[in-house]
Amino acid sequence: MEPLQRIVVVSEPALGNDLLTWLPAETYRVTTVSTFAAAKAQLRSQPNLVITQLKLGEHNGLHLALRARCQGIPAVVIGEPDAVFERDAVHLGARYVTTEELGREQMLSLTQHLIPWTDPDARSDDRVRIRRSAPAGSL
Amino acid sequence: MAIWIRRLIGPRELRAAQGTADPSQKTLASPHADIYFTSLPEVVFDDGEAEPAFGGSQEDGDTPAPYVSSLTQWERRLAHIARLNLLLIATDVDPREVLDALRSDCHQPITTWTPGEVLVLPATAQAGTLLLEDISALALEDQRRLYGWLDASTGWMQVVSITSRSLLPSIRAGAFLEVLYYRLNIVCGEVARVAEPPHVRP
Repeated sequence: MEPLQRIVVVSEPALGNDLLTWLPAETYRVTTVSTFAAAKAQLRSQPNLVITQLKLGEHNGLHLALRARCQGIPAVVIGEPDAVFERDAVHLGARYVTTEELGREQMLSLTQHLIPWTDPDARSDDRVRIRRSAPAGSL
Repeated sequence: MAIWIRRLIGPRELRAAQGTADPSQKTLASPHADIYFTSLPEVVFDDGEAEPAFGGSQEDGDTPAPYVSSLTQWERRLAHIARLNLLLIATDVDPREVLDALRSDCHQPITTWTPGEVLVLPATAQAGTLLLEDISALALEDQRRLYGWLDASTGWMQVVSITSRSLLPSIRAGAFLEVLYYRLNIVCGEVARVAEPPHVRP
């Protein structure tokens, strides 16, 4: 029997409850927290995936996605439709999901794709994307 | 919490490192080496967030920089590569000091704004860095202009904002635009003056 895949969800309680319902307990062990500080602490346990809201009070969920990327953990950021945030998410190798398209089927599919055990190519694709984003001579 | 400090390299040290045979120094010559925050030293907390050596250290005879940043080396590097906007909260440091330190280290075209000045925004296609000192003092009209410019920007401009206090009370009071706050605050870090002498490794 395969061990449970660990997912950290950083969000308001309502969204956290939705994700707890959508992600099957027999496959995923979901830990929900509501603050950036608590999420940082959870990252130390090296979860398989981080799902975060964009607006985290004083912090931006994209910062958490950046932290996760530094540790090789894939991240999903959930926010309102916004081309700039979506572009920033892509630049740092995270997935941006709008609140309009958020749903059970979409999150299940994304989760299966992003967790390396189920899709080993996902992380290498993201690394390539970060490098391609930087224009020549900008560094 | 005990901390010890490594200083990030500056342009001169980078050039020197490019000629070294030391493999750990060779990595500094990579095109992704970040020489941007050379005045903000590496902080290694004793809670397991230690990182690989990067640049000089006290035992090398370097003078430690006077500030510490809560951002890790990799956060800074990745934010710089991906051109993510930074919000720096200067807790006990004059924001002008931080701006001057950043300006002296920046190796790209920069535009700066300080309170009392007219906010002059670069062309939307321009690459480089926009440094904003004490962002809490930015007038609402300029905040709207800045927000519009950020949305229209197609170049590789990274905005680094400095504030001496949390902006959330200003947002609640209607004095600062929430939409602009999250645009400027993609990555947030605190900058503080070094409070204790760094430990020197035996």
